[in-house]
Amino acid sequence: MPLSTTTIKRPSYLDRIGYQAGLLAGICAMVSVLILIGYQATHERIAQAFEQDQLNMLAQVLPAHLYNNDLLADARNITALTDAYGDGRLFSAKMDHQATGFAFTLTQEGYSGQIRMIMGLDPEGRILGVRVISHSETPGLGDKIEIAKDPWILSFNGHSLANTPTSDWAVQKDGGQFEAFTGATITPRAVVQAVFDGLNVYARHQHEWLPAPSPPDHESPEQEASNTQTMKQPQAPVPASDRTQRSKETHANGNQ
Amino acid sequence: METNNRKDPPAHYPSIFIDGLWHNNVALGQMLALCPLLAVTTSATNGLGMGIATLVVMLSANLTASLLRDIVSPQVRIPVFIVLIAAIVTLVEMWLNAWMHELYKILGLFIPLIVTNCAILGRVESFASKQKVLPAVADALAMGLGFIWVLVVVGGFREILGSGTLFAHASLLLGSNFQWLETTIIPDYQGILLLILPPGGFLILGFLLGLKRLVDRFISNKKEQRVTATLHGMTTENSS
Repeated sequence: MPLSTTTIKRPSYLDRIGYQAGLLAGICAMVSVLILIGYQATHERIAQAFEQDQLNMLAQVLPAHLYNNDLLADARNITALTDAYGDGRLFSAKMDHQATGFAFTLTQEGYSGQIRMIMGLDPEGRILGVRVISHSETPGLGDKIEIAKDPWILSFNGHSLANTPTSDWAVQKDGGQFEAFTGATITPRAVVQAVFDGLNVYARHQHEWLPAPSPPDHESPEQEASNTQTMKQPQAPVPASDRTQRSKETHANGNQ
Repeated sequence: METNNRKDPPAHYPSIFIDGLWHNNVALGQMLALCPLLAVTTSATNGLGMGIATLVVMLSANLTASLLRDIVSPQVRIPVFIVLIAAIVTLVEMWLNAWMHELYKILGLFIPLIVTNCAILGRVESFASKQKVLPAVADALAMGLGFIWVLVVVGGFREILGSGTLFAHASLLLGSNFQWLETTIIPDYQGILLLILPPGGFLILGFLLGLKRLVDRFISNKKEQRVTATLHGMTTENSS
């Protein structure tokens, strides 16, 4: 490295504080303009890519032959979903204005951080599909909940509260009917719990969601109360007794 | 490192490249940028993606720093360079998000962290801000390529031993023309979980560092042998 070039006489203005402040300000202004240009050039494509992501996600849990509406345009924000699971978007699949399915996201605490899932249901409350969107479970153990790693997540397909008794909504280790894969119990337990909770939310609110052009979402105060109750559930799977009680209440609500 | 008090003639390109790729390699020589190195190298493709992103940032940062070297006062050089590097990284991030969305989803979190990659500020500060444009760009290229190969090698070893594949999902990064790169080395392989987890990064990096030491020692031994051999030859000639 040449030692000479840097030390040889520097113009004196370089040492003036005013020049230095101006230089910093100038660089910052220039950089802001650059970033603005970059944003203008990319934000449309980024929005498109994001939309495509959502559609790809939905396509996995809502078979394409079920609907002919624009899923993204028909999406609604539902407080019951927001309260319980954070995202709150309800995607309704319709075939010629007839409701044929629903999809929404779920969040549950896994072994190391939150597991985000999306599930699709048909109007009778049967599961069309469940997929994991994001998680931070242990690679090689807990990540078998991803469809790319293991077909385990498909074992939910076709199940509903009606055809699967409440006591079966657990991993086999806990006396339920869902297999837990080797080396991980907490992760599948969390997924089963989330799916069960999702079915319950649907059972409780299907009468509001089902009519195709449904009025804006409003709930009676008591329902709101029962919602928050389920929302405050402990992160770990609820003991079976607690769960039975909760699902009784669910069925009562669902049959309204 | 021993290279700091090196007094090369300005812009000796072969030595710039040998430094960047081997002797003064960002990861193996300077031991910088280990955070992204350990974090993203769970597969060779991730390593390559991170490496290319870093190379692009390095090139642009070295180029601008070299262009601005006469107007930047030494007193404010660090904030100026950081602002520049942050802007470049932001632009790269937006570009990746728009045009290589799948890769962006994998690397996502680690792209903004390139700003804090000390290797980039290090090269700008110690080399580019004191050099003409061409050597500065050459240095960025050498350092960036040096970083890429280490990322790919570490990622490759972890991927083969951990998941039994090599360059899985490479077509997401390089386009469908590069599908042939995606190979399954060991089919139905359960994998050594440890190597995918963070400790695996440390282990492979450690082995690689050890290997570099061995190679360096081998080379210097060879040189010594040659010197002693010639000396020996001279003495025998004299005696005879």
